[in-house]
Amino acid sequence: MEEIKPVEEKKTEMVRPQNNLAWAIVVTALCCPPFGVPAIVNAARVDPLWRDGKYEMAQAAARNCKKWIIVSAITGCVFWFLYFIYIIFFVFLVATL
Amino acid sequence: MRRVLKPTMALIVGLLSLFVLYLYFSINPATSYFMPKCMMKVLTGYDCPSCGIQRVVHALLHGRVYEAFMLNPFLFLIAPYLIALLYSTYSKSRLALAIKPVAQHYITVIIYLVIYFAWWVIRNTDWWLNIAVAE
Repeated sequence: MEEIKPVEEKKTEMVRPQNNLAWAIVVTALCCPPFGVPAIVNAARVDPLWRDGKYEMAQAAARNCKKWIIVSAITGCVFWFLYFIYIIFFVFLVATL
Repeated sequence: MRRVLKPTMALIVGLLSLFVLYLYFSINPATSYFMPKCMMKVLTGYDCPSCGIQRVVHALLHGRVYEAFMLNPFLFLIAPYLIALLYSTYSKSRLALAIKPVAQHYITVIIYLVIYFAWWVIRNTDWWLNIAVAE
């Protein structure tokens, strides 16, 4: 009995990771395609890996996917912010000339 | 606290989206300097697969469906797919459980990526640019 217990515990600890495929696609479309594509690829790998019993790899893929989604979203937002400042500066310059 | 917070958040999100829709109705994103620009387009000069989403929204809000479709047919293809994905991810209904294995299957994703990159190339060819200008 005592040998089985830790195995059971390990199995219940594992939670099926969410593949954020929808958000990967949103981020690829709206923010930054070069960083969104790895997010899509990693999201697609989560479910097949989990089905094959490679639980750690599935969770790693899910983590990678989330990381790329965040990177892509931040890159997009930072770019938009910089671009907005640049445009305001440009308009200001034109107005003063 | 939670009972008050949730409707308040829903109200704020609803009002914000109405405001955004009003912005896209009144401002033409093709001519305004202040609308957000696509990073890939600014950096490389080529349209990315989803470039034109703001012009599409603007055209749709003015009822010009054909013009919106010609601006970016790819978006009309992925909009239903995206809705299916979001629904199958966040709903527990029987329909969502039926959609999930198909929509989130890796072969579907591979097909999506192939269409995505093919459209990226096609929309920057002279052939498509001529069609889009002629429309």
